Amino acid sequence: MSRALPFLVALLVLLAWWALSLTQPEILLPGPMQVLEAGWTGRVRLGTGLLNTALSSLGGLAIASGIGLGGATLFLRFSWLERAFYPYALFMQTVPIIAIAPVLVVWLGYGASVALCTAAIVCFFPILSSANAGLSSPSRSEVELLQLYGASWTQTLIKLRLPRALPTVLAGYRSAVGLSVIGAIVGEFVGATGDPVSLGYLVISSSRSADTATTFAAVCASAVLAGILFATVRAIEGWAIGAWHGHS
Amino acid sequence: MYAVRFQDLSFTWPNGEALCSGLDMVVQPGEILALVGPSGCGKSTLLRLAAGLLAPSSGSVERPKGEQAFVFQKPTLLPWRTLQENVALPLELVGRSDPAAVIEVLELVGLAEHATKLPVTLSGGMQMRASLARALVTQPELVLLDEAFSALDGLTRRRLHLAFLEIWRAKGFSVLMVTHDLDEALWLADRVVVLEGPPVRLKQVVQVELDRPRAREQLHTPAFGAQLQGLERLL
Ligand SMILES: Nc1ncnc2c1ncn2[C@@H]1O[C@H](COP(=O)(O)OP(=O)(O)OP(=O)(O)O)[C@@H](O)[C@H]1O
Ligand SMILES: [Mg+2]
Repeated sequence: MSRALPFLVALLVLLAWWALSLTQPEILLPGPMQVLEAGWTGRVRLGTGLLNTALSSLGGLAIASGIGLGGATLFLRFSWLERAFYPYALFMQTVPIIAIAPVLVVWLGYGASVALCTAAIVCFFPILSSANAGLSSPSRSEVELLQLYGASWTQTLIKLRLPRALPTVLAGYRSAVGLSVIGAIVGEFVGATGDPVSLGYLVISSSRSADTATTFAAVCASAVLAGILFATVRAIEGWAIGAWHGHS
Repeated sequence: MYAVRFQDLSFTWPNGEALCSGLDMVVQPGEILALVGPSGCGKSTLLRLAAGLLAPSSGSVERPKGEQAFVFQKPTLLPWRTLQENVALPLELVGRSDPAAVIEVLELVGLAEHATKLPVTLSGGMQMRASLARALVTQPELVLLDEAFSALDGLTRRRLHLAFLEIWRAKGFSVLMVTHDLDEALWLADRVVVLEGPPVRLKQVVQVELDRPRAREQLHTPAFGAQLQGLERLL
């Protein structure tokens, strides 16, 4: 019964949406069937857009992972680096991405690289901060245990800190993947030319031509993308830490 | 000869508070020495000084060359490693691999059939025994125990005491242990050092008058009762 609850909610929302759409003109609120229809008609463009936005999100995640995980490891090794740079990483987090995107267009020109950068920027901080917290999460006795047997810094990192950090880092990725999709789409709003086509571009262009059903279809596609990325992180969590984390 | 010797040992925390100053203490080879004292007096810190995890501010901590092992109050097993991988960790860190030695110590603590299980699937007592096995795998000459038995229920604790005494008799290592349980101190140790502080000072050293090997019946003799009362009065 409790497993069915989320589906029940989805069904109710769909019903409510459908009922409400009957009272409104399509250009304001298309119904579920109209959105499906628009999605089917534009399936090639939507599919290609989904793929390109996915590439920008994943590329951004990869860049942010490199800098975030590498940065957290350096912070651990050299604490003065952390004191020097962490405040700015935190500050960067507070600058709205929508304000940065036009600057990126100036620097990078129109195209997918803007989306790649905005995706990387928005998901960088959760990765850095979760890795930073995770790497210093071993207890004092765990650290002393390794110290007692003469473990080197690298041994302590590999045998203790990295595995210990996994639950925290993966929790960070749970929010980072959703943010990367948001970042990519914001980048596409501002910087995409429509060639190659992307979800952000589809949302903007269809809403400008009052094709609200296609806008909805593109929004749904981006939700599907975020959902797939999120589910992937959950699957990795189950595989990597499920056997030992959260039991005691 | 000594297993550990504190000579004129002083240790000051970074905030300027002194943990101890001019402390002298010796653990004899092969003996079990128990430290007892009020909470916060500095027992764990003395153990960490003995292990070399902390460096003295002045004076010296001397240990003959040889393996040492530390058993923490919590089992401190790495949860992503199976029991045998946990026990093998000390060997692994110095680039050794000795599966026979790992199985031998797991047998010693009665966990051989659980070797491939993850710690989360074991009870607290079993985890503590695994932690003991890990300490023994390097054939240490000195074993440091920081309230190693205190988190266990009474029955499990008694069993582990007996198992520990047997292993100690067979292997002949020296033991420096901290406990807040006077019964346990008398029952296991050759000498009990009563501490006060902070800053930590030796209040009294009590020679335990119980024969070895120890038997459960000794716990109920008048001699044991008298020693226990003596210790209680000191604290
Ligand atoms: N980093 C520190 N800086 C200053 N004082 C400290 C620090 N760490 C511990 N202390 C102090 O040192 C004293 C000894 O601590 P320790 O843990 O050795 O006590 P203990 O005898 O093992 O206590 P317990 O029986 O509760 O385990 C305590 O009074 C504590 O407040
Ligand atoms: Mg203590």
